[in-house]
Amino acid sequence: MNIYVYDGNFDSLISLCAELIASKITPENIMTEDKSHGYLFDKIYLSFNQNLYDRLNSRLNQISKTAYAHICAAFLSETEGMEIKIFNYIQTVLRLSLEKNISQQKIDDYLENFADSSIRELNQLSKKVYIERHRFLGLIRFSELSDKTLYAQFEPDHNISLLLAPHFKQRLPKDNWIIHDIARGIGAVYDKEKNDYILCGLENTAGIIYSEEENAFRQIWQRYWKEIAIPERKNPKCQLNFMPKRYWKHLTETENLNR
Amino acid sequence: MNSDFSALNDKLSILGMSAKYDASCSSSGSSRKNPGGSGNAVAAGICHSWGEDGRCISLLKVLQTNICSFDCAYCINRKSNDIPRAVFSPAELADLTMQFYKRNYIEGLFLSSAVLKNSDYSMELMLKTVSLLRNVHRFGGYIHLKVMPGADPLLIKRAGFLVDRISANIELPTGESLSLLAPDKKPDKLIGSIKDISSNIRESVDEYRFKRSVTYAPGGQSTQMIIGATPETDKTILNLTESLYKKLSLKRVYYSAYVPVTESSLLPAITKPPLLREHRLYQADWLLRFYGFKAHEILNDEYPNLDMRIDPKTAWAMRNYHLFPVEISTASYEEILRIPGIGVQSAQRIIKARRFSKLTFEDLKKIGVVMKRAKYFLSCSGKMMNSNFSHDLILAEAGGLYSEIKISELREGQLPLFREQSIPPIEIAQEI
Repeated sequence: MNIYVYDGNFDSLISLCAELIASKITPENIMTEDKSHGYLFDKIYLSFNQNLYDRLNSRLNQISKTAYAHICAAFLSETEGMEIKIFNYIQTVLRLSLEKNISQQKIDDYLENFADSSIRELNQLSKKVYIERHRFLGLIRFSELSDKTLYAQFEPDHNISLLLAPHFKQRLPKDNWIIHDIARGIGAVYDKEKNDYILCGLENTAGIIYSEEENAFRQIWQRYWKEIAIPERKNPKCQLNFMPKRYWKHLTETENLNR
Repeated sequence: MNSDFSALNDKLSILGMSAKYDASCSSSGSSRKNPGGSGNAVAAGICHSWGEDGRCISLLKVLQTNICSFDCAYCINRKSNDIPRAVFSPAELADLTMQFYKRNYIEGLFLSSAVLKNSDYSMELMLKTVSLLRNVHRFGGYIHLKVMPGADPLLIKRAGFLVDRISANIELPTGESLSLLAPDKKPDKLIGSIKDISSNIRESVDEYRFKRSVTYAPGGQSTQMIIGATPETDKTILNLTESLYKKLSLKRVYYSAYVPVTESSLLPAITKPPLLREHRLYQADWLLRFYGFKAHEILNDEYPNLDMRIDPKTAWAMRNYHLFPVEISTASYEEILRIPGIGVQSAQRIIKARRFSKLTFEDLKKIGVVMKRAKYFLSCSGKMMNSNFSHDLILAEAGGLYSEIKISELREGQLPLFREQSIPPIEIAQEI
């Protein structure tokens, strides 16, 4: 048994993968400290190595920007076992790039070969994250606060705030807005003066004061939402399929229906 | 809520109710940049919510007014119908759209209207709303505008440069049905508008090649027809659909299962909208758009209607079993695409993956092929997966539900799996 433990940062994971690959070690598993409590022995800690990190990081970017984006998305999935899938994938990517006379086209093609389990598993993770991101492009609900800031709370399965923020920066550059992942206690905070956002820790606050008009528009939207359905076509199963109940808590239109 | 808001609330309720039978809510096909105000469009489109009928809510779907001078038998807004009526002022509707948009309730506006006074008058009102949004609010979000029947071609031209998608409803599959149910609408005028739009789009694309200019309706043109209010066969509907795509380059054709909103001796006495038929038509529409099928392959004089029990691709494959099994390691993309249980994504993955190794049934499954369906229609390296097919197994797989099929429809001996005269049913929600 050899279980490698890291601090949960992306950079540390990349550094760790680089070190394992350089020393030709195949780990049993890779996990964060808090998840490794069940294992008393065989835990190995490697400290962050800036040099190795830089080399692998730029190497991966050089081989394929798409592959790098998939790795980042898989990391943001925060699902159990994603670290070892990332390790396997990086190994595949590196091995591929070292093949004799291999063309960029062939590398790109192989990275879409779903018969290879390391590629399939990583792509599946990254797809999950991107599907949830796409869902929340639509399901984020802003409320207007008394200072006109647009404020949204949400609880995504994956850590997608960083993937959502650029979309809203393009879309709503003239408003101050906050998307607040209350499950993780983090948020993207956009400042219209600076035309930029930061990702930071955000505490959950009880004292939210809405703008005067906010309640009226909520009610108008709720009624419209309810009445736009055609009664003869009623199909709640289909509705839940697209919009699972776990999201309802933070949707304006369902705030009173959620139980 | 103060009285202004409560009046607005009632008005939106009236004009939303009157708009809801329009099928489309798509916000795709346009990637308009933010013009320096609020809003942009995303090519893939974004759904924001889903109503209790399971339909996606992407755009604020609403009428400028539901006061109508026409009396179309199938329409909730016909002038002889006793319902509350209202009109949005352009400023009012533009403001409401912005309020909803910045809260991320919607992706934009789908604006249609009843015929107030005449087509051109209502069209001008709608154009005012859209122009306020674009030029005063500097709104870059998605706008879908419905053209009024027989509207002035110049108005149609102006509209297209302001919006992302433009549509004119064809309403019913044939001119005869239209004359019967919608005497105020002239079939040649409806088709005329569709043709005008399609040539406007073509011109704008041509101009774009030479110099940078504003694109006319970057999200393309769509149309809608009501299914089940008139006696046309699916073959007629699908042939019409095909020519709309091919000859007039439409982006989408929508079908709307007829919902009995009114009683009329001209209309069929049904209690439920023909949703399964609508679903099958959409499946066939996908075969035309993404799977390289021709309408005459799916339906012909011998089979003028879609089989309600199975999806049209499986139905086609069963009638053409002499073309199967398709060999995965050598078949072309087009052939693989025609295997039931294989979609566009799986077909593309197969083409990529088979260059690196011989694919097994297990690989296919992991790639995303629905083997339950596909196994009767493909082979891997010359072998078929299923040698000990069992009728009971199919039943178990299908959850105990199955339909009967007439064996005479199949040529003897071609389809061993269906010898028991039964087929696995296809879940209604399943994609082709």
